[in-house]
Amino acid sequence: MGDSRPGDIFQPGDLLNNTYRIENILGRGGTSEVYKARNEISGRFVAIKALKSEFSGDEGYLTLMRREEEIREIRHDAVVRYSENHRTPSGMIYLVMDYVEGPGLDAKIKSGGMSAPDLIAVCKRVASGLKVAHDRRIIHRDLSPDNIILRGDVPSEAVIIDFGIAKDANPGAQTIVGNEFAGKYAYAAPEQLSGHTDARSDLYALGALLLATFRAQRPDIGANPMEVLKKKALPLDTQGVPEPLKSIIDKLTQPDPAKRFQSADELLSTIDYGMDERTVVAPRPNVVAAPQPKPAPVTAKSAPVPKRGNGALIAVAAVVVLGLGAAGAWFGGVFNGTPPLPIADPYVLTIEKPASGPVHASGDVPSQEVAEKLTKAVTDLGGTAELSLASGAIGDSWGNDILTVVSAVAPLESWKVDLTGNDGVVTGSTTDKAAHDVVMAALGVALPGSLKGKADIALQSQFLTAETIDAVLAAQADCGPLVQENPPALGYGKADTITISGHLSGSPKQVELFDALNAVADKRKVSLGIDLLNPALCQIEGTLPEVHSGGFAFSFGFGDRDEDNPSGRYFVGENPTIDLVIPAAVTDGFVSVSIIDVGGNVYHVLPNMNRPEDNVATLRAGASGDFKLRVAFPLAENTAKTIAFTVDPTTLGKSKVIVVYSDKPLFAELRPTTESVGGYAAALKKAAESGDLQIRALDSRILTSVEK
Amino acid sequence: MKIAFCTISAVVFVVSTAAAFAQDDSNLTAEQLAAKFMAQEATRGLVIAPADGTTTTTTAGATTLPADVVNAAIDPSAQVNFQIKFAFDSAALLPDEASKLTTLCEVIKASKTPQFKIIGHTDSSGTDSYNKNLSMLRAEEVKRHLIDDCGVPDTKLVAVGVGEAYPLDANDPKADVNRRVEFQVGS
Repeated sequence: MGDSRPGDIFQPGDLLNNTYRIENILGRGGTSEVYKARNEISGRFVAIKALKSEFSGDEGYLTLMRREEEIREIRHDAVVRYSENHRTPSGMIYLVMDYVEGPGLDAKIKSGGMSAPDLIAVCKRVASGLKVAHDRRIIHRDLSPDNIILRGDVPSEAVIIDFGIAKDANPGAQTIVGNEFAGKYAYAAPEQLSGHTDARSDLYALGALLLATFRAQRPDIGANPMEVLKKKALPLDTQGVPEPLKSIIDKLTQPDPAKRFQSADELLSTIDYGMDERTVVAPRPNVVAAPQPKPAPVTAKSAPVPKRGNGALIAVAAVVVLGLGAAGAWFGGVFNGTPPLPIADPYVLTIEKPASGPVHASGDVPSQEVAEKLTKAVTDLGGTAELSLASGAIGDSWGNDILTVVSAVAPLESWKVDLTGNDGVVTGSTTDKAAHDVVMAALGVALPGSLKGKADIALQSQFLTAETIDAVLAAQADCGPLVQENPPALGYGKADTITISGHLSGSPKQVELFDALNAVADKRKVSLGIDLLNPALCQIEGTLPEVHSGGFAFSFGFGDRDEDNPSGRYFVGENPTIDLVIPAAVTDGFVSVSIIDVGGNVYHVLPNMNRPEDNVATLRAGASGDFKLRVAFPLAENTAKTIAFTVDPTTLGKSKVIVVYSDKPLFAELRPTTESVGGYAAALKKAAESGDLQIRALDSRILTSVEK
Repeated sequence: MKIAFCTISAVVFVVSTAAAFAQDDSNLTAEQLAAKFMAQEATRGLVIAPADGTTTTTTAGATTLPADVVNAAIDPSAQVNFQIKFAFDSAALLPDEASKLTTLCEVIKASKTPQFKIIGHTDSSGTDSYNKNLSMLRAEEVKRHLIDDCGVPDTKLVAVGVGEAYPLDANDPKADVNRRVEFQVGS
């Protein structure tokens, strides 16, 4: 974020509406981009959300932008202030809102989380903003750490941004924004999975994001829809969260909406009451549960939590449990002796670094010392550990051996260490040959010490081949071929952008293509230069042979006045005139001019029954140079032999005028003046494949009909 | 003529007067239609049936028929005059006509009859070969609609074009009603 790219909607320095000077980009989403800009009149900063051009003509997205604009009726310090929608001269739609300077909770999560008292302040502030929105029946639907900003880094100055944003409308677009399934549902209430959303869903999300910010860890909600459904049905694990935050989160995140706080109001009065009385929300017997007989001693920083039967779980990771210092010390003091460890059979430990995501270790370890060292090794790599102390059938040097293995594989891009007793399976993958060779030299023959087994590390090409992309394009193309712009000869490197051009049948398809490319792109940037055509036009795009332009042009005008229409846009009721311009170089052969309209009909304007002449030499009648041939006439000049069009309001959109230039008449028998696009596509295919004629060139131009 | 975004002002739109010439079966229920096809199948022989039930197949017309068509009279009550009308010089299915095909399509899908013949006709404007092609395009258009938009198996339909040979209104061969496709049980 922050650095602009050539494909961005706006560039730093751009001036919008003679008022807003773009400073830098703040974020990119599937359907929109957000910029920081300065109002050159007031000097204040604003945030500008711009709808990507491919969506600017999409009524669905425009509706959402309008709806988002309605949020401006909410006047509350905890809700970002919206101004109005604007449109640039080139048709780009953008929405202006206040710029809130400060870190988002997502940044807080990355930098180690926040304390419980600070989070209660955030909770109170966000709840008061939600109350005002909910009172107006506006549900956020997508509350997450990245859309809560702490103005000036002050918890009590939290501001909710990004209300009802355009990504909500389109399920495909959501996956772009979230980039993965889990991202989309990380903070969503369980009922949202089945499409039910009310004010209580926002409260759930608030609880879930408070917990994540406290733990400095995104919720693990599962990797696939089934897992997500299962996990969402369970209460969130708030063990170790100090009161009263724990009780607040517990009640906010009840899977059953009926058991949650029923309104932001109820939440607020509970917090206020709790704070004023200096008590916890729902008093519990003791903040620190009575020590279990089994747990082994742990460090003062982590709260001991009984979990599996075979050991005590140490919730370590980056969790800093504030307010429990005394309790922790108390634990430390009481358990100076080491009680016997439970026996684990099988004795299992898994440490994994997925290609995308942090390291995670879970399983059994034989001692407090190993637990601490391994946890440190894992957290140093930005990961988390959930380890249980247990004894079992393992060698004496087991703990040190594990640490050796982890430090050896750490440089790899992805790896996994899977241990059952002394038996180890170490796998991994990297694109760096040197790193591959080092790890294989160390572990490729045998694992160290008491461990049995060896490592198997894959060396992957760091180039993504054009063929891989072509396979995706072939599967996604539904409107003529999709092509890669200048694919690198050796394949795409890590920093290369994959640029695709071509036609597609609609924005859902475009979103699908984007997702499919991202799935193989491995973090490379994907840039789409796609023209969206309607299904009728796509049917022809898919049929037309790959023929080059022949220099033919169409010039558009108006039947009732002597005026050009270079944009090709016509309002309902207007009478377009169309001239085919035959280039000077074309003096022989045959032309066939047709209009494929948005409703799926094809009009053959030349040749047809009333105007059968398609021989260029005859049409020119000796004239040289660029030759204009009228194919659609003004209503006033219309006769039985000619065709005139008016724009009808029933179906609006893009129509296409095409000319096919061939060495013989395109069709052996004249086509009827009107036929379906299906009929025309079949006939074109037959003509192109017959071998009876050679199609020399093809040119086309889009005509757009719009409401006045 | 209003078609999608464009109006072709040179073309006069069809005013349907079919009822004056023939019973129109397009309003029959699925059961009634099925019964009619069954009755037609029972007579076996096929005819390009004129509206009044008399067999007026001309010699010239007979030569344009596909070889497998046997000209034989069928009981007028068994004829299925399910006509789909077209605009002048057009093979595009008009929206109203396409919706008439919905019931027929269900009957064809449910029917045990192995094959149905879709017969395209034109009026007498234009040359014979132009009209033969246009009538074929009309029949193929209806076939394509039944296959692509309604799910009738490809093998169940045969498209035939007979040009201007069998006008519904023989007294006025240029009449609008002559531009049509008809359905028959066929093989």
